[in-house]
Amino acid sequence: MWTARLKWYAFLGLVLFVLALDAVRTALYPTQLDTSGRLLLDGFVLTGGIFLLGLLFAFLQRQEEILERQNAELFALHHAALDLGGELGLQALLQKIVDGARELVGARYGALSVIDREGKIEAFVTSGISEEARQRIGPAPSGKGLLGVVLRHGQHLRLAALGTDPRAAGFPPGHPPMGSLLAVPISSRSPFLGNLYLADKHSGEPFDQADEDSLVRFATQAANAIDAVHAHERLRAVAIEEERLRLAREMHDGVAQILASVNARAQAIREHLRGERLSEAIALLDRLAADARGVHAEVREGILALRATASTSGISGTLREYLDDWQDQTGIRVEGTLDEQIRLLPESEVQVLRIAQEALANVRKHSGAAAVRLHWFLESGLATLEVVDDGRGFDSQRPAHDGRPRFGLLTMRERAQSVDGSIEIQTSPGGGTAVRLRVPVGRGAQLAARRTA
Amino acid sequence: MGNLRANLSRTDRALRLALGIACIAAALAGGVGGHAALALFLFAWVPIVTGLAGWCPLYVLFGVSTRRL
Repeated sequence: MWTARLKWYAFLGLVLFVLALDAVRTALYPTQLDTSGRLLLDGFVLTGGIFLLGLLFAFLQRQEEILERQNAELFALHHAALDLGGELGLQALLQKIVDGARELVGARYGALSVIDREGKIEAFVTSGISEEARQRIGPAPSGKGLLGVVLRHGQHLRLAALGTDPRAAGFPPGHPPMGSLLAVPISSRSPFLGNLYLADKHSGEPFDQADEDSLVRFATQAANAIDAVHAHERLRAVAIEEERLRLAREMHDGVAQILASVNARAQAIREHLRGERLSEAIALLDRLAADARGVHAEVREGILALRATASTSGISGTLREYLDDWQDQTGIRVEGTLDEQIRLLPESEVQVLRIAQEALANVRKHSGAAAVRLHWFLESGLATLEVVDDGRGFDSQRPAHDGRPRFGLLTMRERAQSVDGSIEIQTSPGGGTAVRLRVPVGRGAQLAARRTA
Repeated sequence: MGNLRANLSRTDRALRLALGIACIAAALAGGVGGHAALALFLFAWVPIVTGLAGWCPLYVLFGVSTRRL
């Protein structure tokens, strides 16, 4: 708005300047020119001045437009980066990328091709084309014509008229007519390979260099977001693998060992029965029943742990449900407090949950405790989990009674480290055990809050 | 003039060119004399140049455009 006012001031200033010039000239040389001559000269100066001012303001206007456009682009890029960053599903992300690119440059149509290892189009995501129109067009392009050119050479492509390019293979029947085209590759560090296409600007003008630059910058953001999705998928795969190994280890350490013992006792009972040593057989049968109860508890606890996963309601809700079930199953009293406000990244929440489950499983298996206290709270910016039992405790300097290292504690430490957390175990024979886990909240919590917003 | 955004419609441009040519024709025809003929010659370039360029500086100053966007 300030330029509009400035234009008026400049014009008035010019008129005043011409009038002042005329007045000075009349005062200095009163007889040199008659009235029509003076008017002619004044008109000439005024016209020249208007041309100069016009050029100046046209230039200023242009600069202002460029600044406004860059500002809008930065804003759009910032928003797109925020929007893309929160997306963890590839299909939804690709749709957001193509929608965002179309909005950023102001194009009527947008498309994104995903290219496989052989350089063929594997998937084709569109924007600005209705579902009916897509149905009419038929199958996705295979990479012939102009789409193939961009794929193979990885170059940018900017055409004022699509149809006039000799490489164009034409549109299939039912395809909406498209004029100008802009295409850039999406070069990400992950195995993803794709191209971003825009066609027809809303203004009707062909795409210019500024549009191309904007789209290239946007494609870089898109590539980063795609990398993040790939990294997240890899992390998930690793987490699933780790979980499988943990299950295998638990089955080997727990259920398999007890079943082996059950088998040995059953054979011993048979021998006692053959030798008609009934009292020994009955004693062994009691131990066999205890073993069966043990394995039963182990399996039930395992199923309970698998069923409890960090839900959208947050870790506190999941922990509360788990603790209720665990108390009912084990008969060990649970007390404590859970801070509902603490939110972590989903992967961190899962690890905290598994550590709590492992700590409680240890309480059941080894401590002989009657009660356990569990607290989940914030302390000095760290989410803290405390599991304290009143059981028999152990000497942490000595290995377990079967001579093997304490795998459960080792697993808990590994889990804590995987989410940048730390774990501390305080125990002494006869003094109960306290497990204290601390997990950083900062970035994880912010991200989680943004995703749920 | 590549950086100047046109602000004149086709009709506007045609009218300006016609006016410029008419000014020159009138001056040459000799119907007017003295300062008036000089004025016609001197100012004929304004509509001709703006008409040819499709851009008028006065329109820029007053934020006017006869060209449809």
